[in-house]
Amino acid sequence: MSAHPKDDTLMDLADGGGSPDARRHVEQCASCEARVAEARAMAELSQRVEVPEPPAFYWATFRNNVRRRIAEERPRAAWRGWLLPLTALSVAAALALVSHLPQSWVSAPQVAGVPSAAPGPPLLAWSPLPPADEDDGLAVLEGLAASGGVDWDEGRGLGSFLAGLSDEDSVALAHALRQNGGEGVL
Amino acid sequence: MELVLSLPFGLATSDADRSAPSLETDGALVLACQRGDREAFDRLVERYQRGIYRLCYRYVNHHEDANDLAQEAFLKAWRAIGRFRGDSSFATWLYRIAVNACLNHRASRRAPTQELPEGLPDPASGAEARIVRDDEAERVREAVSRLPDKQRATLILKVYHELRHDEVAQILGSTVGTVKSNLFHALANLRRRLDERGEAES
Repeated sequence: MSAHPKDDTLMDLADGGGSPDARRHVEQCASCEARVAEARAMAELSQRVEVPEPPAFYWATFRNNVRRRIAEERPRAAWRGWLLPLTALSVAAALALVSHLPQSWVSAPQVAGVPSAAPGPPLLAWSPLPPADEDDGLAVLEGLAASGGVDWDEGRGLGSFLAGLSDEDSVALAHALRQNGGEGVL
Repeated sequence: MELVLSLPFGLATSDADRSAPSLETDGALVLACQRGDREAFDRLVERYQRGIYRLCYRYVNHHEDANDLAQEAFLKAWRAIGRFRGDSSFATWLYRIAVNACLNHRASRRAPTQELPEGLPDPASGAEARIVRDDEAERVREAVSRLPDKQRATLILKVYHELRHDEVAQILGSTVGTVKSNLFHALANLRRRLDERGEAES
C-alpha cells in the first residue's frame, strides 16, 4: 500500500476529488477512509447549521449605522490632513531652537557643593540639522531679523537670543518679521 | 450598462437584492465611491451586508459582536476604497477586510448567546427540513467559534460561503494546499469538540 496521503489530499477526497492513486489508497486504508468520512460528515453537518436570521428591519438599521459613522468620519479626515504637516513643522522648529541653544543651557545645572558625576564617554549625538555655521536656514532667519530692525548680540548667536526673549518680545519679533517678508516662515 | 444577475460568492445579500437585481456592477459602484459618492457605498453595503454579517456571526457566534465587526469591516472598506485597484474582485477584497477584523477580534468578553433583536423567527420552527435542531445548531456554532483562528476562518469561508479553495487562499493570504489542510484539521477538530461536549453533557 502506498504512503498515507497528506491532509490536503484527504480534503480533496472528502470533496469528491483526488487522484486515482489517492482514492485507491483510501479504499485500502481503514484509517484514511475513516478520516475522509469524518471530514465529509462534519462538512455536511456544518452546512446544515444556519445563522439565526435577524428581522428585516435590522438591515436598514445596520445600513443607517454605517452611513452615520462614515458621515462622522469626514471631518476627522480633513483634520488629519493639516495636523501632520503642522506637527512636523513644530518638531522641526523645536529641533532648530534646541540645536542653537548655548551648551550651558542644555547641560544639567551644577548644584553648589555637590560634586558632579565623573564625566563618562561622550554621547554620540545626531541632529537632522547642519552645524550652525553651515545652516543656510539660520542665515536666512538672521537676515530677516536684521531687516526687521531686531538687535541681538551676534557673538552669542541668534539661537540663544531667541531663547532668551520674553513672551512679549517674541510676539513683537514675529510681527516685525512678518512685516519684512517673513510671513511665510513664521 | 452591464446587467449583474449573480454576485460573486452567491452573496445576494438583501431583500432588495433578491426582489430586484441591481443594474450596477460592483466595479461601477467602487469607481463612484472613489469619487466620494457615499450613496454608491451605501449600495455596496446593502448588497453585501448580509454576507459579511453572517461571516462575522459564524466567527464570533454572537449577534452584537457580529454586528460590531461587520460595521467595522464596512468602515475600513470605506476608508481604504481609494486604494482598491481591482487586483481581486470587490467581494474578495471586502471579505478579506472582514476576515481580518474577525482575526483581530480578541476573545469576546460576552458569553456566546443567541440573543437577537426582538421579532427574530425561531430557526428551528421553519419548514426547511435541512436546518438542524436549534440546540444542535447552537452546539455546532459554538464549537466552530472555538476553533483556532485560521481553521475557523477557512471553515467558514469554504463551507458556509461556498468559496473555492483558491478564493479562500486569496482572502487569507495563504496557499491552496494550506487552505485544504486547514479545512481538514478544522473539520477533525470540530468533531473532537462536539464529542467532548457531548461527553461532558452526558
